[in-house]
Amino acid sequence: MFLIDLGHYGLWAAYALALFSVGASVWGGLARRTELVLAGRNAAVASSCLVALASVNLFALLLMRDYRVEYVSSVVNNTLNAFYRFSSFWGGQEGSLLLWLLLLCVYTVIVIYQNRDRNSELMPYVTATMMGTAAFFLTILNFVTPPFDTLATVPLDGRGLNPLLQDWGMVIHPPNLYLGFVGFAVPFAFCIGALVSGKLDAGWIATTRRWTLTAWFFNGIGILLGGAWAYRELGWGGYWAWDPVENASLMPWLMGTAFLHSVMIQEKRGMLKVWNVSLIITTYLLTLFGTFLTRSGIVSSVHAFANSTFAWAFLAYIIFAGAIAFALVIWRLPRLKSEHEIESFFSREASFLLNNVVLVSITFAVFWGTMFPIVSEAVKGIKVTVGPPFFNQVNVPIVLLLMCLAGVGPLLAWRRASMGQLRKNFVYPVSVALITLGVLVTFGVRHVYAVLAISLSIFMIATIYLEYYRGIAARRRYHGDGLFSGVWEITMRNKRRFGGYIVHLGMAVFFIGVAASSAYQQVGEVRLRPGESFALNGVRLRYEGVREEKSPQYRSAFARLTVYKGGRRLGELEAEKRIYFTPPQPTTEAGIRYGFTEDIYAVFADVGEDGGASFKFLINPLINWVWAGGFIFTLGAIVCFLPERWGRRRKRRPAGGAEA
Amino acid sequence: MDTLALLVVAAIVLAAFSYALLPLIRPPEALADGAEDPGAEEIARLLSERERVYRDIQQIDMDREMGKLSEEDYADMIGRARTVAIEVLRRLEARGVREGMAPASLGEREAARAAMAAGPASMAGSTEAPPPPPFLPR
Repeated sequence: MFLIDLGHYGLWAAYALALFSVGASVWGGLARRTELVLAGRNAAVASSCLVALASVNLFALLLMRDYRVEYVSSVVNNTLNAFYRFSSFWGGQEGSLLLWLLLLCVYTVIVIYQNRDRNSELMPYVTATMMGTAAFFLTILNFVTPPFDTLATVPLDGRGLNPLLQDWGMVIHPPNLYLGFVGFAVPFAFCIGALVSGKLDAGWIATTRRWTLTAWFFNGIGILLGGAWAYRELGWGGYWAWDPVENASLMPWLMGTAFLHSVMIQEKRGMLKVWNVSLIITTYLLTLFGTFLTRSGIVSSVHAFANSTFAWAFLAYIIFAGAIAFALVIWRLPRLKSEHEIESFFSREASFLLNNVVLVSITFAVFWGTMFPIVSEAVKGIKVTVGPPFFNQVNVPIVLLLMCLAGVGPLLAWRRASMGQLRKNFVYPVSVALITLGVLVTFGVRHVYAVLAISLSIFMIATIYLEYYRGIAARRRYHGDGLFSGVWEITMRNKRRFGGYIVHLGMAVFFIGVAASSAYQQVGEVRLRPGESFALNGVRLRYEGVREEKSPQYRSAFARLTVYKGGRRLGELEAEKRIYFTPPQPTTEAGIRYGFTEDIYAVFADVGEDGGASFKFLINPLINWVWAGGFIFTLGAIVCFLPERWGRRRKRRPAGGAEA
Repeated sequence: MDTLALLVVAAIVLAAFSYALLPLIRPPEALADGAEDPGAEEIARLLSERERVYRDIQQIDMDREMGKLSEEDYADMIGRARTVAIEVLRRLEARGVREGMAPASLGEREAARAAMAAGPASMAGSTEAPPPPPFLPR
């Protein structure tokens, strides 16, 4: 019982300390009383340590399969291996809320440590905001869904983890997403600190740049990993279905992307201050809204946990936090005036502003589509659900505009660009994009959106190439750098700019994958007897038969297929159907043959007594470009994240000479 | 809960509360460790501002090199950035933080490099280190 009691009382003590931290920090900040500020800071650290202790206890209880704890018995069973017992921490309601809180506390302690000698005017309010959020989660964990509640009768076996979550993708996807969601609390807290203290220069933005980048990166990777999981595990052949919970994770990422771009305008030109604070407040609220959607069950989703009454507490907290934050913005409006005006429409700041408008428009469209069933039910009494056609119809044209802007932006200078320079800079990328368009049409690609998306992706890649080419040429002129050293030096000396270009490159590759796999996916459903074949888009799949396997957790049936293309045998493929024992649930493990140009995807539905089996086959062209784009995106984000001086050549070189 | 568990839980919770309340019990001066030094904070802010303006100058140089700025725009923008840089350096110097001159424009760097290449005599009279070429650390 020791671990259970320590966890239980630890969370109660953490709650008291979090509330004390909020009170002491705000009072200390307003009254300028150092001892109160320090007490608030210490209370935040102590509260975080207790939350960490409680989390360690829960991990231990899960690993030890201590079924006295209700939560443990609901997500673990006797056959679950240690890997999934570990990840079952966030496999249920209580654990995932505790994970959120734990990450928030870890971030809080790091922020307090990083700022122990700076930002003293902001820090009391930053601490109060972070601990205020922690106090909200502790309210839920202590009053509504306590993770350490015990059962009157201890069962011999637990109910076990949802089989869909027994996948490596689901082991790393939720923590990544949470790292992103929770991470946005840091820039939000600094924004609140800046608003309350009145220190509204770009200082808080510079302080939180890496935090925003971290949150945005993990949010993005979390979305991508979720897509990879859905592709392999859900068996419908895609990675994104505009499901409400998927949308809930996308919205903060879109707003975070807008924020990352627009803060550059504030840093460089002292503009868009109201816009930036509003963006980060909205981003933070959207992370909470995502949790509300997941928990409330107000919209149908494959991801939703359950209909929980406490979800409405989330809504109340969102309204409360939003009201306070926007009231502060209104109060500080006179001090949030821009220091400059946009001088020219043909400037980088204008393109960033337009990019912001586009990103916010996509966010709004996604929000509207997600909430439409609730709105329609409230207005007309009928729940009308909008599916992928709505989202695609609305968002694809806006995304095309965004891609265009992502290509144009890098070619524009800050403040203004002359028409002559614009012409000079645009000739090459526009020509390459037009040639691509011509080639695609010539080779029979007729899907308008796919043609435009691929051409614009090539336009984006061409502008990035041009930026690198000119940058390397400049370095060669002044430093005699070779190609590789030029690429390295120019990237390392301008991490933010060129890291951003690498992210754009990743997005271009990603969009090529999305366009091709969405527009030209081939699907076929068929029932085959052993020895029979099915042809799809030049690929022939021959069904060989079924073999069975049994593990302690599930029984599997594997349908064996041989794949041929152009008369040549490519290899074998196995599509699996599993039946889990506890909880009794079937799952589909798609058989996928990954390829650079296409994936061959097989879903095994069932097998009859005569050995005949039902299949769904898909050919997904260029779908791996989606994951490749994600990989490049990760590289770019890492470059942006690297310390300013890291990776630079330290040697000074003699004037005009070759390498020293 | 058994007695031992109760004692351990109580001790941990007590330690956490004591740590939180320590600044209220002991005088803050003994705890602050110099954390609340407004002078140091202002210097840190100015140093960060200096980094920012250096980066701006580098970006402006780069934009010109990459053919995005006319000479007229370049002169205007680099002039403004240098004014800000000089002001930041002046304020840093007033607080006892000394460093080299504000980063020079590309033309000045070229001239300085040419002077350096020509030999020490041409550098006579200058007490400052020659400014670095573009894209090199300052």
